[in-house]
Amino acid sequence: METSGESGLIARAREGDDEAFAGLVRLHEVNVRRLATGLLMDPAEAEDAAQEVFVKAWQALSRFRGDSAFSTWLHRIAVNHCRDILRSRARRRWLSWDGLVEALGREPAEAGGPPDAATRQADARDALRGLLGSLPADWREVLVLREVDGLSYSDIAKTLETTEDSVRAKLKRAREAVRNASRH
Amino acid sequence: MDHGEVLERLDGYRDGELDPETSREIATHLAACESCRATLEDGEATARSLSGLVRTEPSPAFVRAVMDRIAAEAEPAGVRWVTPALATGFGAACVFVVLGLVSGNGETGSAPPDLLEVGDRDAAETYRMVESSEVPTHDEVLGMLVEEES
Repeated sequence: METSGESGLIARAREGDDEAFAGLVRLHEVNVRRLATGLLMDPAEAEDAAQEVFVKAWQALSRFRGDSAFSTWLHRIAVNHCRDILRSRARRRWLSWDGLVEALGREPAEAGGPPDAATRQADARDALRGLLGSLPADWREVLVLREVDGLSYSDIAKTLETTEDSVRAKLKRAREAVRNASRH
Repeated sequence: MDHGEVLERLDGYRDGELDPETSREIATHLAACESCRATLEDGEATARSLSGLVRTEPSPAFVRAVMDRIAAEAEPAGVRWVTPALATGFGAACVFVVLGLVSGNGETGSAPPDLLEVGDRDAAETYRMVESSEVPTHDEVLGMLVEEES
């Protein structure tokens, strides 16, 4: 929800006040960067994408009508931008997260004894990252928006311009996929 | 609410998306059902793990990078090198004009020969005053014009 302080920053930024826009960036940069990382699963690419999201927001600020919260509008730009990147990735036939998951699955166990706790934890994180990356993009979107950004079903629906029923259904399938994979 | 119905709604309960009455029923069931509590805790642990994958801290460097990028995008790519080139060219042109004005015959106060030769006394006088920093006043200019008419 917008605060009166944020409303003031938005109004001034719409007039071309770049210091005010910098204030908006400071307010929302963590959420946008976290969302981009969750969707792209590549920290460097996510940082660049997050910067580009704010550049696009600056350029489109005159079109922000205030019908939704500013954060929802930003999330929407972020999701659309990350979708473009993922489509471009697929077109360039880069090594996909599916391929990475396969590669992780084929990694031979290290010789020299059982892994320590830190290694097991790192392996678990890698496995979860690979699992998240292997989900269909629309399931991953709802899962990241809910579990990482903590958005309500209503805000997720507004961000993705879909219905709450669709959000519930995809979230259920995404969580089941994660639970089932975790058991194996 | 039976066990199956609780499990079906457990994610909604954890997400805070259920109506108050349904939430109360589930809370009551959870208090008595270890299995459902374990399922709820599993879901919460997975959510924490997912969130932990993308842990992010505030970054002033990120804000600066965004504002630098916006500033760079503000000027079209062609203008970014043309503007300083034009400024340099204009500055050079100004220098040449000033040098041309003061070069003359090397003597201050003397008009170019061609003006004197054609007898353009007024132009020569004006030239002398400009060169010696004696800028003609409004009356002086009018005086020259009146004299010319007569």
